[in-house]
Amino acid sequence: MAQYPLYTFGGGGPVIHLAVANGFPPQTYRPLLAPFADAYRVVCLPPRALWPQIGPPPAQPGSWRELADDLLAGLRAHDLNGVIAVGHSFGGVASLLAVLDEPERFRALILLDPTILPPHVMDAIKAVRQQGGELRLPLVEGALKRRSRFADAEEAFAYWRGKPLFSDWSDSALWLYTDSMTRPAADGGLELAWSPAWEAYYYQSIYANTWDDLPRLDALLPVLVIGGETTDTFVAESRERAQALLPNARFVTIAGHGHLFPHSAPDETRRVIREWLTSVGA
Amino acid sequence: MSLEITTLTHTSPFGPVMTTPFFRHIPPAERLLVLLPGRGYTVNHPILFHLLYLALENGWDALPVSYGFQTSGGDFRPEQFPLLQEDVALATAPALANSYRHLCVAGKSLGTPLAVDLARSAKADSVSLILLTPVGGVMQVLDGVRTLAVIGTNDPLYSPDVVRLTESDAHVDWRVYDGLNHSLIVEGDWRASLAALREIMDVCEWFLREHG
Repeated sequence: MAQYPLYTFGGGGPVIHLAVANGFPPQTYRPLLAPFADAYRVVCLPPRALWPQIGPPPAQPGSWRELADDLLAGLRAHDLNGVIAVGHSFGGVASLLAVLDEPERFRALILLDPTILPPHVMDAIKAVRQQGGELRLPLVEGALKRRSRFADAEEAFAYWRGKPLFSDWSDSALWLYTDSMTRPAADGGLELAWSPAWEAYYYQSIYANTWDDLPRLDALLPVLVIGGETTDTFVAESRERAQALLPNARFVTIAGHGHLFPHSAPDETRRVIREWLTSVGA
Repeated sequence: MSLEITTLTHTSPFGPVMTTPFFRHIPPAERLLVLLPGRGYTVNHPILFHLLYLALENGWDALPVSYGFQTSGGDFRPEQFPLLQEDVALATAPALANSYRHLCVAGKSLGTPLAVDLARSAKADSVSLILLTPVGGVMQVLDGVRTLAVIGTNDPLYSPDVVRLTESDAHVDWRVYDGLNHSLIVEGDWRASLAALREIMDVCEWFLREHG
């Protein structure tokens, strides 16, 4: 069982499983998800980046299919069935792939600003890979350049407080991030718990076939797709195409928030999810 | 082919924050193709979609632009044209700052006057235009910019007189396709539409190779 660590938000009843975004530990989703423990058992199978003693990532890029494979293996290992899958960013894609592989294990799917880039971007990524070329994504270089050492939690909090990425996060949300993203380093101070190398590996391994997979999803189970109004990831072009491919899904936009709305607008996001779960009887 | 894919962000005069993917070769190319869609014919419609890859395969960097009114779900009124010009200027400025030697601007319908605007103000050594279903008047204001113009005879915008008057210009190559409508398809005949798409792609590839 130790191979698939399980983080629990508490609760009992039907299972809600969270697949996190790249670089965001499950604890950062507590404001959004912990209140669901009043009616659900809320859990998260963290990706390998957060597994104890995991070491560095593979030298060559892989695929987000590995995330889906781990997710399914973890659900099996912990005997979790009838799962309401919630996935944020690349966790959304991992959840989507897991549902397509083993739909009987799931009862609903909730995608939070999934990393489904516009078709011409996905196709360019596929073309580069097919031709064996180099694919350079700024997110990869950004991850590798990320500051990874801090003297203490206060220093880390102050550093991130000044970053535009977190400008619309509350202090309490940022403290959850600070506490879960850092761990004691062997030689003193703090280091990142989700290493920059793993973060870069996941970005480099971006899954580019989602547009081919999406139409298969529509008839399988109820789907809710929530996007941030100012997202730079699940942009309007992607949302419109996804809506055309998933005519039975419900699409909602969180106004005034970007890709990280599950962290910056947890109450509104939870309200949308709860209303939808009630409406589909999940 | 090795590519760097970045995202350019600007706030559209129509309201929304726009993210424009910018495809750059590794190592950097000296040629850039900017794609300006039509009102409803977006960069994901067949000709512009394939033109992007055709350009990348031929060593051009590429910038497929979308307009703010498309993203906000609203419509476009002719009096908003200055906003559209500003939208395009904001979307393209960071890419054009890379000082390309060769610039080609491809426009479809509503995108054709915008393409002409951009070409006329560009600072590249050589500038060219691909005008797909050019709208009224743009063919008369090309100012000697090397241009490939494509239209079908079933397009309400098709004017044999405009073609006749401008085809003698040594800078202009006209391709007029029998039976194609404003979407550059043959209505009710997918085989003929696909054949036309192939022909149009071939002529675009020829044009980019000749003028890049």
